Order: sequence, then structure tokens, then C-alpha cells
Amino acid sequence: MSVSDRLFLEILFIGVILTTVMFVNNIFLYKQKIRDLISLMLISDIVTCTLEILWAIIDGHSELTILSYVCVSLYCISFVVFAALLNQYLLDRLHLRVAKKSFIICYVLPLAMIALLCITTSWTQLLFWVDEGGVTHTEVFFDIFFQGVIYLYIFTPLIIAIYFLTLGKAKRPANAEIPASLFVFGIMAPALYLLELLLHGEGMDVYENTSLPIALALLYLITNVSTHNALDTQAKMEAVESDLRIASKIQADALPTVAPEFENHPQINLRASMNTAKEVGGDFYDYFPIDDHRVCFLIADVSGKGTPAALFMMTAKTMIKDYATTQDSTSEIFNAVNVRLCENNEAGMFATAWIGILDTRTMTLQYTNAGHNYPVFMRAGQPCEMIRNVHGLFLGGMEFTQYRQAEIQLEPGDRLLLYTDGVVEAHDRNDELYGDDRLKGMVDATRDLPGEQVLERVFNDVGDFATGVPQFDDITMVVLTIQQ
Amino acid sequence: MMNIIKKQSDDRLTIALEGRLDISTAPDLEQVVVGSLAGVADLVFDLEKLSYISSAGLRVLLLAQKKMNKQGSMKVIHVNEIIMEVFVNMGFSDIMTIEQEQI
Repeated sequence: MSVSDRLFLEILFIGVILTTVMFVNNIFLYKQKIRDLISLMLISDIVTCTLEILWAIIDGHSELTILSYVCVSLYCISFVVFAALLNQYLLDRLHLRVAKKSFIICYVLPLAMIALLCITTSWTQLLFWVDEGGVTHTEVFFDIFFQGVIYLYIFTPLIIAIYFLTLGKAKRPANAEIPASLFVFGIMAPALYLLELLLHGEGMDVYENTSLPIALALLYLITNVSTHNALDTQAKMEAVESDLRIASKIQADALPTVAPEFENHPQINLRASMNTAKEVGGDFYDYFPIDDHRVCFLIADVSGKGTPAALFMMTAKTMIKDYATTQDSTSEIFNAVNVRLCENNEAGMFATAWIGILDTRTMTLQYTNAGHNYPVFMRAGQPCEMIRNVHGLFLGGMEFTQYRQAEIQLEPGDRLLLYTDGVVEAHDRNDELYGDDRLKGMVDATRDLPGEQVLERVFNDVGDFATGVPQFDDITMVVLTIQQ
Repeated sequence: MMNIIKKQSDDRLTIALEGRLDISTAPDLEQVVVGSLAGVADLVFDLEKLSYISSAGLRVLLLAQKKMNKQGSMKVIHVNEIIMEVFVNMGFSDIMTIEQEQI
């Protein structure tokens, strides 16, 4: 084997190794899937290079003529597949799409014709042929059609990239870096090819060794584009995070924070607290006077987390407050709110909620529970109990839900604790739930303390219980105390 | 982990759920509900081997109920005590036909 032959093989090997490394990188480092365009493209390039090596090794062995035909045919087909995938990848980077109708003409037809030429070439000798000595000779269709198709695939996106960089500045994609990378890639491949020819000198013209230049140029292109995309993703992530922080802030600001001292209702004491988990959650509470003898208070928990939950929460909160002033009872408030929340609720969001209206003249509490956790009720001087009733499905579930309501007569010293499932469904390391009983126990134990301290003690107790387990859900509570 | 076992005979589809229906498994069930209710007039959810249901799971059951309201009927059978409590607490028993587990 001559020096130039060995050099040629070595170059091919480097090409294969480079492409394989790129492939592995893309799968593991950039988390691409096998079926992604870039992975398919690299696989087809690895196959092409490997076949090229095989071709170089068996060339000139007269006993391997049939293998030569098979190998070169497969080489031609896989090279066209690679070029087509590269073409798609590049166009995709430029946010361009080939219309479905043109797809057959642009990709399927050339590939079919190459395949047909490969199958028939042993008779027609149009593409290539193998002589008695086992040496492969390429023919006119190889030079014009096969290579032509490949050049077309590779250079069309490059010309478009150059267009984007120069004339089409106004129309080019938001990012100039990708066309620029493509442009460098376009110069790099032919330049490396020329360099390779210079290094080889004469006598190498039998082979069309394009794999190394393409591999090197691909390396440049893919690293550049992937890194660029990774940076892009990072920037987006940061933007989303800051959005979430703002959403979280807006949400917190939307809830009443100042302990309300209802001037007209000195006998009621209302306190609330909300401790959000990591993400923006969908818990909310509210309290406000409806008129000079009625006070409304409520708690709710929106399904899901994140911005959709926060938006749904804001909508629900506003609606409840609106309807609280126009509807006569808690059930009617929820009937109206529910119908509105069901409109255009494609995402299927919903909220469990508990609403109460206290008439301070009679001290009658009217309430409706829409699928929410049972409140803890403490009658002065008696053990705590849960108010175990539900008056309909959660809000935003079914349009035609008719909510019911109930009433309870309050006395001085009574206390009512509303909470969300972040309290009772907090779990410890052994997956034990905090549960209703422990909550009732805490309310019992704090019966002589003012409302704000009850909230603090319960929250701390939940924290103690779930030591070592990150807070999973928002923990929100509202406590109503009737002053002695 | 959750297994979804479908049994269809004519226009009656039975979906048996095994395991936990929570935020991580609910999307699988949603796909089934979205994808295989065409032509179904009688949908049955068999929850005999379901150990847990979260609000994400309830959402999918509600989605199925809404679809079946338009094209037939739906019922949930073999509901154990824990899950029944969730159904009652959330107000599901108002809008769904629920048959408790026979012990």
C-alpha cells in the first residue's frame, strides 16, 4: 500500500471518528434524540464515511467485484441521504420549510433515481463500473448527476444564508449567527477539500474524498449552532424565571395583607397567611365587607401550578369579589362564578373553594363548599370538629352545577380555620400525611391564643412534621375568631 | 406507576386503572380519554386496583365525564373507601355515577 493510499485511509478514519464523536456529543451533551434530524444526519455521514473506507480497502481486488458494486452503490445512496438530511437541517436552522408537494421532487425523486442507477449500473455502466482488476471507474452520471445532486443540497442553503447575510437583512431570521455559521461552513468545506488535494498531490484523483472536509466543517457548524441554541435556551430559562418571580409577586400583592379591622364589625377577627412552595401556586384567600352588616371571606386552591394556575386564580378571585356584591347568597355567588369559569376553559383548570358570609347583626354564617377541604370549627369550650359538608363540585368543573349552602350560628369565642391541602397533605419522610386529626389537635392546643399566633403555630407544626421534606404545596390558612 | 387496561366490546369501553393516578400518570390517561372515546356510548372506569388519585387525575375523569355527557353514559365502579372519600370531598359524587366496592 502506497504512502498516499495510507494517508487517504487515515484521513477517512479521522473523518469517521470525528463524526462519531459529534454524534455521541449530540446525544449525551446536547440531549438530542436519535430520531432528530441532526442525529440522523450524523449517522448517515458515519455510514457514508465507513463505506468509503471499505471502498478504498477493497478497490483493486478482482475477487471482490460484487462487493465493490454493493459497497459503492450503498455509498452513493447513503451520501445522497446524508446530503438531503444536511440540506433539511440547514434549511431548518434558517426557519425555512420545503412545501409538502415539492418534497417528493426535491428529495424522494433524486434518491429513487440514484438508487435505480446503482441497481442497474452493473449492466448500463452509467454511474460506475468495476474492471477485471477490481478497480472502480466512475462514469458520467456519477460526476454530473450524483455529485450534482449533492452539491445542490449543500449549496442551496448556503446561498440562502449568504442572501440573509447580505441583501435580505430585513427578512433574515432574528439571529444573524446561524446564517454566519452556515456561511463559514460553506467556505470551509471546499477550502479543506482543496487543501487536502494539495497535500495528496497527484494520483489521488480516482477517489472523491470529501468526508474529512465535510466532517470538519460539520464539527464547526454543529458546535456553533448547538452552543448558540444552548445559550439561547439558557436566556429563555432566565426570562421565564424572572417572569415567574414577577407573577409570584403580583399574586402575593393581590391578597389582602393588612390585618383587617372592620370598623363596623369589631366583634370579628380575621387573620390569614400564605406560604408558597417553590413555584407560583394557585392558592388564594380574600376577605372584604359586603355592606355594613355582612363580611365575606373565602379560601381557594387552583389545580396545577405555575403561570396558568396564577392567571386562573386572579380571574377567579376577581369574579368572586364581583359576584359577592351582586348575588344574594354564597351558593348563588358560586353558581355565577362557576358558569363564567367554565366558559372557554379548554385547559380544564379548576379551583376548590370555600366561601362564607357572616351577618354580624345575627352572627349567622352562611357558607358554600365547592369541593374544598373541610374547615376546622371550634365551638367555645368544646373540642374541635370538621364541618363535613360539600355543596357541589369544584369551580370550573361542570357548567350546570347548582351549589347548595348551609348556615351555622356563631357565638363569642368560636373559631373557624380554613386551609388548603398543603396543610393536611404535607407528608413526612415516611410518607405519612399530616392529616385532619393532627390539625384539629393544633387548633385545640392554641384555643386561647390570638388568630395570628394560631396560624404561626400550625405552620410551624406542619414544618416540624415534614422536616427534611421540601414543601411541596402552598400552605394557606384563614382563621376567623369571634371576639369574647 | 399506573397501568391502563382497556377492554372494548361494541360501544362499551372499560378502562381499568391500576396504581396511582397522579400528576405524572394523568397525562397517559388523558391520551387514552382523548384518543379512544370515538363511538363509545358506555364508558366504565374500573378503579378496583387504583390506590391513589390526585387532583390531576380527577381532572382527567372530569374530562371523560364531559365527553360522555355528549355521547352516552359513564360510570366509575369498584371505588374503594379512600378514593370514595376524595370523590365525595371534591363534589364528584354529584356529577358522576359512582359504584362503591362490594365488600
